[in-house]
Order: sequence, then C-alpha cells, then structure tokens
Amino acid sequence: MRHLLFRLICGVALCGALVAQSSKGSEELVVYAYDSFVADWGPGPELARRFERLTGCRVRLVSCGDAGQVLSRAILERGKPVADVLVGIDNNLVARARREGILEPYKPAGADAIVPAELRLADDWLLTPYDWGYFAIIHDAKSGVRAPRSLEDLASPEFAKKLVMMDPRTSTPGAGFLAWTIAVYGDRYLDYWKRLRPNILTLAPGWDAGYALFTAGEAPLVISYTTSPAYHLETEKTDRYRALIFPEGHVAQIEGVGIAKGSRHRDLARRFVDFMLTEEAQSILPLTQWMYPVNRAVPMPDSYRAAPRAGKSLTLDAERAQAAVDAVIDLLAR
Amino acid sequence: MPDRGRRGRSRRFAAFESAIAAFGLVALLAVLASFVVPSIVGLARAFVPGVPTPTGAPSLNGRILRALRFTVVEAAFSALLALAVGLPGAWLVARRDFCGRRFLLSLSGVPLCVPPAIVALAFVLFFGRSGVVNDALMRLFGLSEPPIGALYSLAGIVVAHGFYNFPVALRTISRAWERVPREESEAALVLGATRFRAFRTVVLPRLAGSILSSAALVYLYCFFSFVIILLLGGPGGTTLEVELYQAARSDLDFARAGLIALVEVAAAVPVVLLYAASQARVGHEIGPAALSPPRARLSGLTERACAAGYLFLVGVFLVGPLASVVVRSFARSDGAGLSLAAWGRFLSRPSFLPALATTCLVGVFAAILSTAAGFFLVAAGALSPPRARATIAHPFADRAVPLLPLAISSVILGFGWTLLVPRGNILVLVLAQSALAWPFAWAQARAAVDRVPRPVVEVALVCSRGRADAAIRVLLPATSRSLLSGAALVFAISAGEASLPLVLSIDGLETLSLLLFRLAGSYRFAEASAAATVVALLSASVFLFQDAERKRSVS
Repeated sequence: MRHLLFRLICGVALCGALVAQSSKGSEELVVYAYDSFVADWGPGPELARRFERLTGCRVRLVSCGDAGQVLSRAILERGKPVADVLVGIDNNLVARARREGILEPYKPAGADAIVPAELRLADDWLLTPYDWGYFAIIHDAKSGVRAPRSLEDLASPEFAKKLVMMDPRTSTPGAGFLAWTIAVYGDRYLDYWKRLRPNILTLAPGWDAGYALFTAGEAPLVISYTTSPAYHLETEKTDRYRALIFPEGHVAQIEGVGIAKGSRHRDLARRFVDFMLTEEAQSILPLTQWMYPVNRAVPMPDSYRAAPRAGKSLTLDAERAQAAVDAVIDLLAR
Repeated sequence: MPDRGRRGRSRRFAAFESAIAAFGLVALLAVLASFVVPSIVGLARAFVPGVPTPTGAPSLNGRILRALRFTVVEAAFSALLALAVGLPGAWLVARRDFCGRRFLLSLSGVPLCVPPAIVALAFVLFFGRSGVVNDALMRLFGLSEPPIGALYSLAGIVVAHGFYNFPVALRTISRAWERVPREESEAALVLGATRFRAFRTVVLPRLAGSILSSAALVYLYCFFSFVIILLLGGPGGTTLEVELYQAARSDLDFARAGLIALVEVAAAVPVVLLYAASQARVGHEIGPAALSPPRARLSGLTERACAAGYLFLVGVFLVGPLASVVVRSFARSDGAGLSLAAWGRFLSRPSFLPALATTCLVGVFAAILSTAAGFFLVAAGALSPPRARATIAHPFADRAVPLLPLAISSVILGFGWTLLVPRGNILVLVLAQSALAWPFAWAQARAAVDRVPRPVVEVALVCSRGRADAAIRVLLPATSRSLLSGAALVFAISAGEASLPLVLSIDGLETLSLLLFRLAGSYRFAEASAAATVVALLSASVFLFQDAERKRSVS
C-alpha cells in the first residue's frame, strides 16, 4: 500500500514537473533574424542570454538567410505567424513590410529620448531602429591605385575594372549603392551608371562574395559600410582598408526590429523591443554587428576611430531605388 | 536438430529480406513525397495573388526570353566541356594504372560538396586579375596589366562550370568503360578497323548511356546555377534562376516568380525526357559479369605525354583553384605570409564539433535513404514480370521520374518547405536533402543493374524465394560497388548544401555548410576557406574509402 502511494506521489510529481516544464516552454519568444545576427559571433546569442536573464523566458533565434528572406518568410506566414519578433527589416524594406501588413506598430519605452529623429524608420513606430551605418566605398591602400575623391570621380576611366559592385537585385549594399546614386543624381542617375559601367569588374550576388573578392585583392574598390575598416583594425590589426567619405554625401542603412502582426506573445515581444534600445543590449552591437548603435550613450570601441563619419547625410528613397533596378540592369546588360 | 535449425535460420533470413524490401519501398516513397509535395506547395503558393507592387512591372517577356536563351547556351556549353574533359579522363582511369589515379577519382566528389560560392571564389583566386595565374604571368613577362581577363565572361562561366562538373562525368563514364569487353575492340582491330573506328563502333555505343546521363546531369546542374553566373558573368548577366531570385526574394512578386519557375521547368523537363527516351533506345549495356582484366601501366611516349598533359590540365583548372581556397585559409590579412590563426579560430569555435558531427550524421542518413530508394526502384524494375516491367520500366517512370528533382529550382522547393514545415527537425532535413540528391544514387544503381546480364537476372528470379530474395542475394552484391559510389556522392552533396538547413529553420542546428555560409557573410573569409577545406577533405576521404573498397573487391 505504501509502495503504491509512493509511486502515485512520484507520478504526480513527475506530471507536475512535465506540465511546469511545458508551460515554461510555452513562454518562448520566437525571433526571426538574418544569418550573421544569429551566428555565434553575432549579437543574437548574447542578446538572447541577457533577455532571458531579465525576463526568465526563453528566446528562440531563427536564421532565415538574409533580411529580404526574413521579410519574405513573414509574408508567407501572414495570418498565422510563427515569429513574434522580426529583426533586420531595414529602411530599404520598410515600405514593403508596411504594404504586406506583417508588422504591428509599437513605440518602445524611452524611444523619444533614445532614438534621434533622423534615424526613425516610421512615424507610427511600425519598426524600431536598433543600428545603422553609412554605405561607403572601401579602398585598399596597398593596391597602388589612388583613392577616388567623390562619387563622380569613381566613374572616371582610370578606375576601369577596379570596382566590385553588388547586384541590386540580390544584395542590400547593391540596392543601397543604387539608392545612393539616385539620391545624388536624381533623374540623371542612369547617365552616371553609363559612365560607371566600364569600371565595374563584376556584380557580386551578395556582400560576402563581393567583399571576399575585394580582400583577395581582385579589385581595390568595393561598396560596403564606413564601419568595415573598424572590423579590420579590431580583429586583424590592419588599417589597410580605408572607407572613403565623399563630399556629395552618403545614404545610411538603418536596421529595425518589429513585432509580427498576430504574434501570440505580444507582451513578451514588446518587452524585447524595449530591451533592444537599452544600453545593455545596444552595447553588444558595435563589436558584433559592426554598425553604429542608435543609442548614443553607448561608448564606442577604440577601433571605431578607423570608421569615418559622413559629412553629409542623404535620405534613401527605397521605392525609387526599387523601381530603378530593372533600368540599371538593362543598361548594364547592353 | 540440423533440419529445424536451418529452416529456422532461412525463415529468419526471409523475414530479414522482407524487412529490407519494405525499408526500400518506404525510402522510395519518402524521397518521392519529399520532392513532389514541396514542389507543388511552392508552385501553388506562387500563384496566389499577392499585394501588387507599385513598380508597374515592365514587359517581362523580353527579359525572360533573353534569360532563357543565355541559360540554355551556358548550360549546353558547360555540359559539352564537362564531357570533353571527362571522356579522356574516364579512359585514363578505366584502362590505365598510374600514380595519382586514386587521387583523381577521389577528387570527383569534391566539387559536389564545395558550395558554388566557394567554387566561384576559387576560380577568382586562381584566374582573377590578381590571381595566381595572372600574377605569375605578369611577373614572368613583366606585364603591367593582367593578360587573362576572360574570367568575367561567358567563357569564364563555362570553364568554371565545366571543370566543376567534369568529375561526375569522369566517374560515371569510367565505370561503364571498365566493363566494356576488350576482346571486341581487339577483334575489330584484328579485322582491319582503325583504332578510331573501333572506338566509334564498338566502345562508344557501350558508353552512350553513361555519356548521355552525365551530359543531362551536368546540363541540369548548370541550368540552375546562380552564384557562379552572377560572380563571373560580368555586369548585368542574367539567367532564369537569377530572374527567379529577383522576383521571389527582392521584388517579393510571387506571381512573377511562379511564372519564371514554370518557364524553368518547361525548359528543363524536356531535357529529362530526352535523356529518358535516348536511354530506352540505346538499350541496356550488357557487359560481362566477369572481372575486367587488370589495368596496364602507361606505355609509350605518346601515352605518357598525353596523360601528363591531361593531368596538367586537370591540375590547372580544378586542383589549382581549389588549392587557392585552401591557401586562402592560411592567409594573413596584411598580405604578408601565412599563418594558422584562421584555422585556430575556426577549429576552436564551440559550434565546430557539433557542426562536424551533424554534417556526418545527416550525410550518412541521407546517403542510406537515397541509396535504398534508388536501388529499390531499379531492382523493382529489373525483377518485375514482363508485363509489369512494361509499365514500371516505361521510359518515363523508370528514367525520367528520378531525374525530376534536378529540373526544379531550389527557391521554389524552399518556399514549399517553409510553408509545409514552420519548424523543422533533423529528420525533415534528411528527407529534404535525400529528395534532391537521390538522383545521383539512382543513376549509379541504374548503370550497375543494367550491366547485370538479363539471363542472370532471370535465373536469379527462378532460383530465389521471391523478388526480394533475388534482389538481395544476386543484384545487391553485383551492384554494391556502384551503390557505395552513389552513397558517397549523396554524402558529398549533403555536406556542401546550405540552403535547405536555412530554409527549414531547425532549432539549434549546426552544420559545416551553414557555418561556412555564416563565416563568409561576416568578414571571416579565411575561416570560411578553412571550413570549405574541411568539408572537401571530409568528402574526399569518403570517396577514398569507397574507392579502396572498390579496389579490394576487384582484385
């Protein structure tokens, strides 16, 4: 009889533990992000750890590929989203995200104080910016080729086949550069591209392939971010790669985090967005994302002295850039 | 009592055979379902009208036709080059013994497992404007501009594709060549035919099947190529796959993506059907089941010179680029000298060992599943009664269906998987990869079973307890070497594949290919090169092991 009672108590305890475990498991925040965010050396794992310590709830980081695929996946899941939080939709994609109706607006605590006006992605806070960076041409100082002095200079004949560009169809920096040329040249951007065409060695499918070509010495110029030299200074102790600041101004990429519409853990998702703006979270970003955190209170590491600030800031017109992609590709193919 | 014991043992063995047959059937149904279901789901979703984009899409027909023309041209030339390089290599490997023969064979799996981005990078590192070749030539001749600039053009694409894929052709054709009876060509020579005529009339028909199947495989692979086209194609180059990527991933215009996917399928399926029809006409390559005579060593100056020339060609166009990737992993960022820093960082990453373990696990299971499915289909076709054989072995079912996975874009499959499986696990990954890779295992099984003479099969059927018994006791041992070869190919493909693990979003999954992709996307190219080297070594060792088995069973 006592044996039976003992077994019964154990059974109940076990069931209780299982139920407790599963109910704890149900408090899990699903975060979709792009691949380098989720990597070991990216900000994702540490952010997840700190958030879990703060709230006691689990964070499940899911890599979708790149930012475009985060959006694409959210669209495919529209109506019954698996994700609670979407990380990586930037100023290039925000209009499309709005059109597809996959985000719900939320203004995080302290947003007015922390996020400067020029970095706001949406007035209704459909997305909350968490980091940003200027697009810039990176120059290899050891190449023997002189550095171009401006966007216009980049198109001069002496740089023939010296520029690695990324395909605007398949890569964010590629689309960013196109938006940059539109911001500077307005309607005459196609003329600029006609002059630039002989200088383009190749249109790499993604930043990784293009930048790999650049660091392999294949070409002395590549489109990337002003913060790229900081990476090289920090990890490789070299200042060989210099970001060039152009007098015409630069456009910025601003990355945002948003709450998936129809998320099942809305409160937890809101807490996560709040958390992303805090110093605790933002301080992880400089050495993992190699972008500037939006929170100015975060001290920047020493290697960021290699990352120059742009003199003039231009706005990125994503819709116009998107419409221009076909025209530019047709021009380049001729 | 001996009688009862033997009957008991044979009963247990019969049960074991039925279990294996059942596993084969389940494997076949699993890989077929894992291909058909996501494809349909992906294509169907692509037709659901989405939110129209305000770009006012321009007339696409011109673009799509241009892309189609370019895709067909580059795929055709790449297949031709792969055959042109693979054929002499196949003769060399099948008929001659020379040092480096095993190395050449084990090299054949490496291109399959190295991601296309690394291949493209490899060619750039070797043939690029500041690559090894141009560097050497500039130094040698004191030039100021790199002499070889053709890398970023159609020629560059075809060379990269051709050399990336020729090992598959070499492997497939050499196996068939090993079985071509030498007596027949020798008899032709005795009767007065020239060597070329003997080759054309005696040997070539025997090889026709393997040549056509290699050509079809390479063509289909190059048809869907994406990274190599964009990186080496120069500005503005476009193929159907690139257009599909743009529509699906950048414009998020799923309707247009669906249209392009259908054009792709419409262009690729005829190749599959043509291949199937040609195989049926070529007929079975009935080769003797007897062991082939031992390979001779290279004799004569011409033979040695040609072999050396060929090996040099392979060295320059395949080994060289791949070696540059390995060297890149030892590179220091300030360009001065070599260092082990990247390797140290890579091997000490916490995710390295789990990634290695998962890659091996998934690869082995995918190989087992694919080989079981391929062998079951081929054996069922060979062992069925004639009337059933007329339907099962019908050219379409028998030869076209297994190649269909090669005729659809991975973007659409990815869509399908995303919709079907919001949260994946390792089993789903194994199924998804098997669905894509089993055609290779099937092709090897097909070629091997075709070599078993029909009378042998019929006697086996008569003398066996049933079809499962005949398959396991007769067909399996006769084809085991080819099956292992197919399994090794599937392992290599699985090891290098990164898009499915991403699409399936499996909790906590680490594979070497994912790690490679991730490293490349965050400045860490030396480490990415180290990762690619590890994957290549893994696949090469699987091939080496498999070829050691092959050598042992032949001798």
